[in-house]
Amino acid sequence: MKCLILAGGFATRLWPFTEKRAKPLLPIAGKPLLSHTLDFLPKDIPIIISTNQAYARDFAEWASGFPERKIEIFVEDAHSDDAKPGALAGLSLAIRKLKLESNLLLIAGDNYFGFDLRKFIGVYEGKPLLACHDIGDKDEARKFGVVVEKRGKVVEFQEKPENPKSTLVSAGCYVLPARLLPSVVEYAREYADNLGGLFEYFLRNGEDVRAFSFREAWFDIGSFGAYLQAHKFLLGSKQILGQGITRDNTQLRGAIVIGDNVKLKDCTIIDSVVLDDCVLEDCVIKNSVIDQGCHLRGLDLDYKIIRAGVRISV
Amino acid sequence: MKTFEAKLRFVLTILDFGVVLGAFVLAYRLRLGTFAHTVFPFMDYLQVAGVASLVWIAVLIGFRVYALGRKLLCGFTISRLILANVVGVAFFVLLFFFWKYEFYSRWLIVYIFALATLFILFTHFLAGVARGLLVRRGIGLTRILVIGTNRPAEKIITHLINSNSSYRPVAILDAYGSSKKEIAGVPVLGKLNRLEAVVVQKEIEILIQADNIEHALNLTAFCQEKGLQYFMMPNLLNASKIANNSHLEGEVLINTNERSDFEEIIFGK
Repeated sequence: MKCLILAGGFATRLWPFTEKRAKPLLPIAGKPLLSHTLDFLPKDIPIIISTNQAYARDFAEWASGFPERKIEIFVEDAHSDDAKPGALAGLSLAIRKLKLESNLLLIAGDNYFGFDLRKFIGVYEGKPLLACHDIGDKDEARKFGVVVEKRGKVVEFQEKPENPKSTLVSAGCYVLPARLLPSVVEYAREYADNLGGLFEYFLRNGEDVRAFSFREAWFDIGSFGAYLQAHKFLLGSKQILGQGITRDNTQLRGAIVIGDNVKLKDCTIIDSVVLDDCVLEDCVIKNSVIDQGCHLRGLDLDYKIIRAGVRISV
Repeated sequence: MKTFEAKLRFVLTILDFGVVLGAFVLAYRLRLGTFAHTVFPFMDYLQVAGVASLVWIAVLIGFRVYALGRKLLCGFTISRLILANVVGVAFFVLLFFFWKYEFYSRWLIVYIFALATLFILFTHFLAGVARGLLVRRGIGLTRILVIGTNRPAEKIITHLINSNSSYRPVAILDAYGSSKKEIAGVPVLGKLNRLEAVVVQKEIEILIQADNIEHALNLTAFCQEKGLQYFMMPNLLNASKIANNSHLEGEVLINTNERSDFEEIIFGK
């Protein structure tokens, strides 16, 4: 089995946090999101990261930090959001170009999974398998692929439905049997961006699709709200402080990440992330992300992302 | 557009120097009936008029009559222009008195003032017409990027397009994307991740934020960094403009005495 991580998106909704970094490489609880995924993957599984031209170098640099792992970077042609081929088309391209013929563990690179992926792979029985999570809210379920299952068997799959039949949603983690990869390529020709639709297609064709329900945490980092939720969940009241920090009359409360060489003076920082080389003076920062190299003075911020290099003095 | 406006103002300044000097010459001819007057020699008069014209233009510049962003002809400009002309004439009389001898004719002063004022108003009117013609040909446009595709964004874009002014929306971005492909012919070019690229490609000089208030700080800081003018639509935070200074300063437009050409187009007189 090989693991293919889909990381071809441009994460435009998380601007400006994703202006210069891919969503799977966003720092969460002190390390890139993808590194959390890697922690739960079997050590010997070959990993392919499917990404775009814009972020290829960043992923290669990240992968170089794990020399013991077999990580390959597969680069799609897309340079921008407009030229993005779509998740399923990206998968199909990887299958064709890399001539993938083994079972495939398919993972959405911008998702955080709290469960052990080794356990997930362990329940695979040669049938398409998808991980699903009960989010307990039908309104929320509308944003995802909704799974209706009976005793571990998927009986219906609804892709972003108006009226969800359950609150069990597909969590961006699948195993595709090698024999079905040609069907994936065929289906992707018509529906380039409908990954969820693939499972409807399998069901229509009489495939036995299996569901793996998990109760552990799961975050689809599609919005700033989801990012903050994941940040708070993973850190709790823990604080990660980088090197070379100067703190003068500054309070840090809740889930906090402070990068290297940050200077803080007369500040209160609550449940926030302040990245490297920032200088903050007389600021109250809540539920926010201050990107690298910002110089802020006299600001009260709540639920904000501040673009790298911003200098504001009030 | 800034270069175009600067060029236009430069040409206008030179032209005004010419017409002020012309007003001196014509006033002399009208008042004295000849250039060969023996008691009040023309060459003496022209010498002083030349120096006085230079100072006159300097006074007009000092009164910000040629300032970028100022309307070429409006009540404010005309009042400043008249005041500058009074100073110009007064300077001429004093200079003549100290440099040459006692002044010959009081009516000549009235003639100089009236003709110079008339001529300068005419050159400003002409410059306005010329600018209008060039703008219609797409020359000298101030290119605007609008953030948001909501109704206030539609309103401002339609208003600016219909006003036929030199301020032209050329691109729209929306933080969360939009189903709209264009508004009044102005293309929606994507989300804010394209901000830097769009500003460079479309040579943006003004950014109007009509939506996505949560990005106001990032956008104002971006404008500050890139030297763009930033405007926020009243629907977001009252009628306010963040000045393009080294420190961000809020300026409530409705309380200001003066408005630029662009502010008048957006917010009315």
